[in-house]
This record gives sequence, C-alpha cells and structure tokens, in this order.
Amino acid sequence: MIQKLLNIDRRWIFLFIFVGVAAAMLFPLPLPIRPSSDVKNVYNTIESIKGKPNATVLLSFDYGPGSEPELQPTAISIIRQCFRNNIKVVGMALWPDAVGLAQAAFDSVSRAEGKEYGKDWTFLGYKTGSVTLILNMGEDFHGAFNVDYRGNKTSEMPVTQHIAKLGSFDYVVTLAAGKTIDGVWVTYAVDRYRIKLGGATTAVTSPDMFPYLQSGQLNGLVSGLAGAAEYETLVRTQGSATRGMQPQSAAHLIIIISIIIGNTMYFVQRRRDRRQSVSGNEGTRS
Amino acid sequence: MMHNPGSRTATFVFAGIFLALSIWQLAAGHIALTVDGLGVLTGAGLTLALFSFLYDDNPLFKIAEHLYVGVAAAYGLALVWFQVILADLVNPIFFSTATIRQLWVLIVPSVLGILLIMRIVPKFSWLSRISFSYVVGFGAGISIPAYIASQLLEQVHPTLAPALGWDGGDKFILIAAIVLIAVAYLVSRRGGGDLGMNSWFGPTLLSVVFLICYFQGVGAASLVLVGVAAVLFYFFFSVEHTGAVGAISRVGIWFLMIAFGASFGFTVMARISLLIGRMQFLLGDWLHLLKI
Repeated sequence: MIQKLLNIDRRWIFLFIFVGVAAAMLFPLPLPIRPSSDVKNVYNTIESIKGKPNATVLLSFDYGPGSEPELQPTAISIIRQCFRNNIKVVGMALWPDAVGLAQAAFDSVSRAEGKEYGKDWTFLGYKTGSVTLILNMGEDFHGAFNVDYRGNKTSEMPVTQHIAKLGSFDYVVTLAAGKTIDGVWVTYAVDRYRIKLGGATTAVTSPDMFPYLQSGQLNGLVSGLAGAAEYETLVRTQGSATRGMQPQSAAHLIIIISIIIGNTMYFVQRRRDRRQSVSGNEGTRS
Repeated sequence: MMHNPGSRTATFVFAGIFLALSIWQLAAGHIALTVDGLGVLTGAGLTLALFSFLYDDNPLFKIAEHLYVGVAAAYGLALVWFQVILADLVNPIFFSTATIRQLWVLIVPSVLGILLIMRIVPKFSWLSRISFSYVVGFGAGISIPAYIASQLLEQVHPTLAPALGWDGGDKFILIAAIVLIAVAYLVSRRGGGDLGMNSWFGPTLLSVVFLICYFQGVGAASLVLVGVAAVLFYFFFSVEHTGAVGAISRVGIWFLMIAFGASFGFTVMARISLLIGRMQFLLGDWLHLLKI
C-alpha cells in the first residue's frame, strides 16, 4: 500500500486537482479576502490623486495571454478605480501581445463607466525598444509617442496634451509578467526620472520584486491572482480574480494534503527499511 | 507517436469530449455559429488539446503547440510591421513633409539595422560589426551606471538600515544572529546526513523566527541583513567552511532554502492561477455552467 502511494501515477494528482478546482467553481464557498498593505499602497496612491486637475495615470501592459488570468483582473480594477474617480488613464505596451488584452480591458470598462476615448483615456499601443522608449519618454513624451494606437496626435488629444514627459504622470503602474519591472521601469524610470511606480506581477515573479518594495523603488505591489482579488475587494467589484480564489484555495489544500501524505509515507517506508536492515544484520551475525 | 497506446487514448478521449460537449452546446443554443461562437469553440478545442498532454504526448497536443507558436510569431510580426516599421520608419521617411535634416534621426538607426542583417551574407558580414559595436557601447554606457545605482546602491541603504539603528531593529538583529549561528554550530557538531537535523531543523527554526517577526511586526529588516550576510558567507569559498565560518554559512543555506521554498510556493500559485483561468473559460464561456 505504501509503495503504491509512493509510486502513484502523477496523472491521478492532475485529476484530483482538476476535480477540486472544478468543484470549487461549481459550488463556491465565499472566503474572506483581506487586502495586504502592498496592494493597499497602489490603491491609496490612486485615491490620493483624485480631484487633482488633469490627474493622469500611466498603465504599462507588459504581459501576454499566458498571464491573462493573473494580470487582466488587476488591469480592469485599476482602470475602473481611475474612471470612477475621474482620473485620466493612458495605456501603453512594452510587449506586442499585450495590445489585444489592453484594448479589451479599456473597451469593457470605458463602456461600463461611460468614459470617452481621447478625453478620459487613450491607448498608445506597442513600441519596441523598452529601455530606449522609457528614456525617450523621460525626455519628451510626445516625441516618443507621436500618435496613439488609432493614429491621433498625442499633442492634440485632451488626455495627453498636458503630458510633457514621463514625470508629468501622477502615477505609473506597470503590469508585468517578465523582468520589465526591475529590468526596465525601476532601473531606468524610477531612479533616473524619480517617478512614483506601482507594480502588478504574476505570482512567479513576485519574490524578485520584494527587495524593491523594501527600498521604496516600488511603492506598492499587486501579486498574482491573490493580489488581483484583493484589489477587486478594494474597488468593491466581484471579478474573475475574486471568483478564482475559492478554486485556488481548493487546489492549495489538495497540494498540501498530497505533500503531507507523501512525506508521511516516505518516513514510514524509511523507518521500515531501517528496521529490516537492522534485523538483517542481526541475523547475519547470529 | 500514435503507436503509443497512451497517445491514442489521449487523442480519442480528448477529441471525443470536445466534440460531444460542443455538439451539446450548439444543440442547446448556448453557442451560436457566429464569429464569437466559433472563437469560443476554437479556444475550447485548443485548450483541451493542450491539456491532453497531461495524459500523454499525442498529435492533438502537437497541432495545438505548433499552431500557438505560428500564430504568436505571425501576430508579433504583423504588429511590429504596422505599428513600428510602417508607422515610425516608412511613413515618416517616404510619405511626410519632413526635411532631410529632421530625418537623420531615422536614417542613421535604419542604416545600422540594415548593416546588422548583413550578417547573413558571408561576403559582407563584417559590416555587422559596426552595428554590434554601437549596440554594445550604447548598452554598456547606459546600463552599467543605471544598474549599479538601481540594483546595488539603492539596495544597500535599506539592507544596512537596521544595523545602523535607523529602524530600531539593532538589538533584534544581534539576538537573532547570535541565536541562529549558535544553533547552526550545535547542529553541525551533532552531525546528520542528508535528512538529518542539518536539512530540516535550521529552516524550520528560521521559519518560526520569520513567523514571529511577521506577527509581531518587528525585526523583518534585521533578518534580511542577517540573511544577506550569511548567504554571502556561504558563497565565499576562499576560506574553509569550518567552525564559526561553517556555522554562519550553514545559516546562509537555511535562508536560501526558505527563499527557494517561497519561490516554489509562488510558482505553484501562479500555475494554479493559469489553470483556473482556463477552467473559468471552459466551464463558463464554453459550457455555461458557471453563474456569473
């Protein structure tokens, strides 16, 4: 029995996880979600600029469809919070495959909140060069993005005409799946142009970002699906992240139980093997 | 591949599930044969094809995998062509009223880019060195000072803050460091194999210390300093790791193990999040079983 459990086919584990996640989705059991201080920092910074004339937030979409479940809910929540507080939002993308995701997020929220393109928000699209683009934006925003994704001149649109350079934005939030937070934004934008930067990352990259929180180079961080659910709680909407937390907890429970069973079986088997080797040695001596 | 029984099972089971459930959804009128409906069906089919690899490698998975790579490459190329090459290079140079003086900023990088492509022509491949030297020079000039400032100097201050008493954690750091190194020394004297006290006792003790810090809201920054110092000791190979040095480097190993454990935990969470995203699509958009 122990041997069987120790050598269990991994496909059974996949099946348990699948069933657990599906069951938690079909029969949800609401769990409390308490926003962490890092998530609250991003939320509070946006709240603090409401009412300021021409308050504008720059959102950088630096992720692809592979990270959509973790980062798209955060993007939607931040855009929603800005629109509800009459804060202008400018979107851009350092990843080419983020363009469709950014457009989908802006379209759905602007329609729901009744916001107008060009006046309340705009999307600049994708540009290559990450570092050189940030450096360009730091010196001359309209030079870096002469036109938006739809071909409108950024110097003529009400949402961007007052933006001279990167430092003109009241807050910059990067939604990143890779190394753009530390490799691009923190290194070239925060330290060079002294902008206030918040981040949203996938759970995988979160541990790499904690040093920047401690140093203050990042003023807040929304980590993975859990962070997105916390942000939805703060914005008071029930999106896909909040709904995803019950299956997340179910899957974690299954993994923890599997680890406990696996370790218990391992130690039981080890003790048994030791006893057998000791009795074997005694038999040889006698 | 289809000679493998597992591969055959995966192909037929996953294709069967997709066909049966799609026909059910079409018949029930939940999915219409429109562009959106076909998009949902394609998405569901490709998701199941990729999931089929969890059972065994099979042709369905291969098709989906190659399709994904091809579509992603084509999408990226089209986007860069229309939004970068046409918008920022071709249109301003050939279809604008800008003067030559204004266009130098586009012409020079374009020439450098073309020289870079010369690498594929053996006779002119030496020309690419001009572009490479520019790229390396620019990269070093911009990156090195920025990285030193951002990744090193900016990190030193918060790391050293508790040691210099800036956050009031100086007493805690002393106690934590002495206790951890003493325990590491005692553990190393008692010995232990791969699964002895060396492996589990230290990280467990350290985890408890971390938990106390977390719930008491003190000393976390001090622990970071202890960890940084101990890990640096572990990677300092010019001195033999025995006695006090051995004990400190052992504490470094414990910190590394906790860091790897945290990273692994976050990775598991991220992967489960991706599964949840796909499951929400399958059970919601495709099968309409979720109440939203």
